[in-house]
Amino acid sequence: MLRWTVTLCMLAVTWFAHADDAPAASPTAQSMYEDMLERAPYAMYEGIFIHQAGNQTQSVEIVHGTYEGAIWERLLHLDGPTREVIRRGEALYCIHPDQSVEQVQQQGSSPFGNKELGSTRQLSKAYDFRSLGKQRIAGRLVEGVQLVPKDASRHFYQLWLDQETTVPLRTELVSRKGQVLERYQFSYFMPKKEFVKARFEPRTKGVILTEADTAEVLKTTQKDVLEWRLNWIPSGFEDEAATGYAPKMSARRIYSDGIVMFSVYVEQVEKALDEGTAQSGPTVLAVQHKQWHGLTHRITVVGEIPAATAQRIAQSVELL
Amino acid sequence: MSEKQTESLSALMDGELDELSMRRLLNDVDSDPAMKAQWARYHLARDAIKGDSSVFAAMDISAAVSEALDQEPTSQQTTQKPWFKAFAGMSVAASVAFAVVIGARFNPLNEQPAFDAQLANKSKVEIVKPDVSTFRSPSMIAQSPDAIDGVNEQELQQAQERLNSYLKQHAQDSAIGQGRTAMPFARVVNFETSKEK
Repeated sequence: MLRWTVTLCMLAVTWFAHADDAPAASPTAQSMYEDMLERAPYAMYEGIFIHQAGNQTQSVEIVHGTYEGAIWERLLHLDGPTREVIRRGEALYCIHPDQSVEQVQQQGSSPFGNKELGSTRQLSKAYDFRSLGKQRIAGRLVEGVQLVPKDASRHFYQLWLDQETTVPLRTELVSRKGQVLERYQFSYFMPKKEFVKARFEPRTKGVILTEADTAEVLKTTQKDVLEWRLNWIPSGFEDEAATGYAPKMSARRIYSDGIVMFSVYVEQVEKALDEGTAQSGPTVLAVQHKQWHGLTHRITVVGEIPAATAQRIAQSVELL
Repeated sequence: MSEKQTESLSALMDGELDELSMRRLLNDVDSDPAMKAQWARYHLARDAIKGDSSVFAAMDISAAVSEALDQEPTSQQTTQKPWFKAFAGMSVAASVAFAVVIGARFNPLNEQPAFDAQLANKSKVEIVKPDVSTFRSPSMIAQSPDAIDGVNEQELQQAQERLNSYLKQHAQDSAIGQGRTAMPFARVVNFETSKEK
C-alpha cells in the first residue's frame, strides 16, 4: 500500500540524513559541487528568489541565460523602490530608483581578469564537503551540499542544487553557532530552453544601457600606492588580484578561499575617525589604525567572515 | 475514512481504478476533508519522490478563499462596527489580488502596461517604505575612545559613507568574482538602497 511505502521512504531518508552526521568528507557531494560550477552559470532559467540578510528579506526576480558565450542576467527588486542589476558578461549595470544608470564594471575591467574562482582544489583546503541529502525546494528536487570549514576562521556554506540544472535553489551562509547570516532561496524556478533577448532588457521604463568610459568605471582606483603585506591569512585564502589587474603595490587587495571573499584597504589618513568592527547583514567590517614612519594608516577589512577573523587579518597588516 | 477508501485512493494514484469506482471516490474526496488531505499528501509524496516540478502543488487557492469567506462575519450575525466589516472584506480582496500578482509577474513584456494599470488602480493602498537601515548604515559595534576623540558630526558622516562605499564595492567584486550563484548580486541590489536618502 502506498501509505506504508511512503512512510518507509521517509524513514529511510531520515535514517540516511542521520547516518550522515559524522563529519566525513563526501566525494559525491564534492562532485555534485563541481558539476554545479561547470553547468549552473550556463543554465537558462527565470525565477523569483527571496534574499534574506540579517533582519531583512527582499524578493528579487531573476532572468539568467547565456548569449554568445557570455553570461547575461537581470535582477529586478520586487519590494520597495524599483532597482535593477543587469549583467552582460563582465559588464555590470545598476539602475537606481530615480532611473539613473551606473555602470560599475565593464568588459575587461574585472579585478580578476579571466581567472576562474572557486575551484574545488582550492576549496578543499579550507572545507570538507558533506552531503545533506535530497530535499524539495520551489517544487523541485534538490540535493544538499554542505561546506564544513576546517578551522574557526570562516563560516559554513550550504547549497541545495537543482537536480536537473544544478542551479542552487537555496544557498545559506551559516555561522559556527548555527545562525543563518544570509540565505537566498527560490520560491519560483523555471528552466528555459531558449535565450529570449527581450527578457534581459531593463524593466525600468526609459532606460537604455550604453558602454561607459573606462575612466568612469574605474573610479575606485586608488591614487596613493602603498606596499604592504598580510602576516596572517586564514588557510585556503589566496590573493586573487595577484595575477589579475591589481598590481602588487596597491592600497587594496581581494582574497578568496574559493567561495567567500574579503577585501583589505590600506590608506594613509590625517586622523583616526572610527575604529572597531561593524556588521551589515552577513558582511563584517573591521577598522584599525597603525602608525608607520610617523604617519597614521587606516586598515579596513570587509568580508563575509567572522568578526574575530577580520580583526586578526587587520592586525596582521605590515607596511613595507 | 475507511480502509477501503484508502486503498481506492492508493489505486487511483497508481491509475488502477475503474471509471465507476473513480467517480464514486472523487465524490467521497469532495465531501470528506480528511480524504482530501490524504490525497493531497499522496500527491506531494509522489511528486517529491519522482522529482516532478509542481510549483503550486501546495497552494489551494479555492480552499483559502472559501475559508476566508466563511470566516467573514455576515451582516445578520455581527454586531461589529462597520469599519471592521470593511477591513475584513478588504483582506479577502487583498489576498485574491496577491494571487493575481504572482501570476502576472511572468507575463510577456508587452502585457506589462495592463499590469501597471491594475496596480495604479490600487493606489489608495499606502506603500510602506522597507526598513533598509542595516544596509544604509553599518553601525560600529565597538569603538576605541581614543579614535573618536575630537571627531565631529561631519567627520563621522564621512566615515559612515566610506564604510558604505567599501561594502558596495566588496559586494560588486564578490558578485563578479564568484558569479556562480545570484547571492552576491542580490547583495549589490541591496546596497543600491543606500543611494536613495
